[in-house]
Amino acid sequence: MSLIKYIVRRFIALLPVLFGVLTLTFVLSRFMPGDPVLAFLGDRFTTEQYNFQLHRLGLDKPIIEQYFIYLGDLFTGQWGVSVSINKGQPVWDLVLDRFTRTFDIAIMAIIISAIVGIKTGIISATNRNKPKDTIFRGMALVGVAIPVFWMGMILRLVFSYYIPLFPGLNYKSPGIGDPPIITNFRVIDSILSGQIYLIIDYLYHLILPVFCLSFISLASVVRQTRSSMLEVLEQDYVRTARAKGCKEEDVINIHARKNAMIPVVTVIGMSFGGLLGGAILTETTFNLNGVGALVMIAIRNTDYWVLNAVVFVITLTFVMVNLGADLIYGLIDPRIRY
Amino acid sequence: MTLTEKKEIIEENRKNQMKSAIKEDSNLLLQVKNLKTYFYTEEGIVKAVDGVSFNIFKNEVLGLVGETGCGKSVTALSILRLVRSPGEIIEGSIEFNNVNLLELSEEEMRSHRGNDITMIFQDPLNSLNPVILAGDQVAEVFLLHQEEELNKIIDVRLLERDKLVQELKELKKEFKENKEQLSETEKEEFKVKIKDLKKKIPKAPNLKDVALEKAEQIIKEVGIADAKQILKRYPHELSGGMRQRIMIAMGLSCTPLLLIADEPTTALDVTIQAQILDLMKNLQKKFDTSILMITHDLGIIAELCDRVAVMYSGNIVEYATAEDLFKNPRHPYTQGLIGAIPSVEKKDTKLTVIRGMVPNLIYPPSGCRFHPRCTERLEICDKIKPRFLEINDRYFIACHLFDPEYKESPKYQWDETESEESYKV
Repeated sequence: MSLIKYIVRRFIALLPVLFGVLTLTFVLSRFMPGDPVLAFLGDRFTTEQYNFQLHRLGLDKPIIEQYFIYLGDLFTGQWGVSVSINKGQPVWDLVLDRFTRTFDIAIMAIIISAIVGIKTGIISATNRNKPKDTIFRGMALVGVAIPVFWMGMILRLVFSYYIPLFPGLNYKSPGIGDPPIITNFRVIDSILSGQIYLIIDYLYHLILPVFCLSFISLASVVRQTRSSMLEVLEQDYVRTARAKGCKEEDVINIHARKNAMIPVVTVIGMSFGGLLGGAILTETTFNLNGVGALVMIAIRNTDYWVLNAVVFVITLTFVMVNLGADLIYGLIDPRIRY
Repeated sequence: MTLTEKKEIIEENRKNQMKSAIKEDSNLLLQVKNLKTYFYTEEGIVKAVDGVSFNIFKNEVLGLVGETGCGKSVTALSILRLVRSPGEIIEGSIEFNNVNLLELSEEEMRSHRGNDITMIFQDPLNSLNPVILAGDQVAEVFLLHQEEELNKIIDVRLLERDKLVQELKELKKEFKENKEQLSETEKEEFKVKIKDLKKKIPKAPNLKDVALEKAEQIIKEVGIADAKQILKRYPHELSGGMRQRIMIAMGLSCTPLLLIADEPTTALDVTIQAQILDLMKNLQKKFDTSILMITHDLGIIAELCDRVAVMYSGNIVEYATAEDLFKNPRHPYTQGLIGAIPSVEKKDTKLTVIRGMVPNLIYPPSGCRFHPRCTERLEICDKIKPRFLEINDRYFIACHLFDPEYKESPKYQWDETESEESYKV
């Protein structure tokens, strides 16, 4: 019961955050040079056409009024239509279609970096200052130092061009169709329509981008796991476990790991924000046609509607993932009560 | 006295000594000989335990007293071979039931830990795993060391269960065969019978459940009434006394031969301390366990222990029966310790202070490590390390004052300024 209360409370606390983010994007987007009407009309238009469109888009109203209309529209789900890409397509459809792809690679990257990172971190901690530890730490450091887009390009060059193991571009093979859109998530839609080969094709295309992206958070997960594991291994209860006669592997897997995971979960939750940003770069490098390309076009054409919608969705995702992380604490540590 | 007579006497003595040695040996549980545990830190080698020897007999409570940082806990951890890097046992032998623990493989050592040698730690809150249920933590010990016994229990129960299942089958068969001939009321009776029997059949026992049952028993044993509920609590939901009881339960679950208690009452308040000590006393008698009681509280020693070893700076300086030691402490350090106990009777007298500080274990003082703080210091004390001598029956002491060889050594004259300074430090 208290859990539900906690979630409700967290949602209420989320409102000011969303509100702040939306205000900031509104202000920033209005500071952008450019005119969405011009983007919409193209090169040739009359003053009448211009004024008509200006009125239709509500840009002739006072800025304060525009702000409140914008807020109201966002929360009631009327996200408007795009003025730049696929003119006239509802922004909602557009963003959902593109965002799911970005979300897919971000979520896969976070899962992989969590699994691999925790495993590596524990090995690092239990082999402290031995060759294994040094190698893993060095790799993590290199991973965090390489810019994502550069790494993406190198991966494409090596594993797609020189050694053609994986596709380097796009999210599907040429000539392969799309599943009927139900949830917009390609994997789920493919399952629902029973076309499993679509999933295999999709995942095959995502291998390189996900690998590239997971390096961002992998490094921080490894380091956090290592340090928190080392700390836990010095705790009295670990000594008790040893004094009981536990095997060393049980000491680590049963007695130490759960305790060490709490700060790691925080790091994973927080690095998801960075991952979404990185996903935009990665997906541009691999031409996955995700939200990154969309944002680029929206910014170039001062498409307020698309831009705001993307920021809104990303903010919401980030906050939800962190809420998820907070709920996971409760599962790990019985001392945390909501 | 002729030479032959002399020889005879010597022979006689030797025989007697042998006899007593054999007698003691059969009763000997643990013998620590010249144990040295050093820590290789960046600042230097910390000689935390530097040549400690003592033994524990069956059913005996040995107290190990000393100031903080004198190596008591490291000695205890060395016995269990739980000294962590950078610490290392570099010399000595630890014979437990005539087996040298230091020569065992890690796997063999593991079967001793928590089984016949167990340990209770100082701070019960930090010593219990915060994310594992108390019951599971106690049950783990049974799962680790008594799997065979648990399996035997399971086998017995499975047999009983099979009998009931067989009975049920027969009853059902009978019911089916006679269905047509039975009247309605008889049918009802049959159904009720079958239902009752079904209820009687327990679910198939598994290892963990049986271990938990055993955990419940042992938790009851340590004086917690609602053991069943405690099993499903996390350590932070228990009081300090309860936690220490859980620790003791864990320590006693496999009826160990030796229980090492490392300041088991330090983190508890006084009333709980008394309860825990009483509990340990009773359980020691009940389970026939020897206890190595590590503490800096002489009161606990007086109440609980048969013999006492006083440790100072990595060495045992005095080692005797509790009675002798309290009645007539001989080593100046022990005298200082006992003198520092406040007493209700000696109201107006000043408490004794041992001047100075515990020495640095990286660069320990030369000779007798206590010499910079000793009031009875001889000239020889900072030059030669005192021998560990048996001056009376089972009364060992490491002090030049009692070594006949240095009887002639003059007393050291304390320079006033020097002593002032050592007070300041």
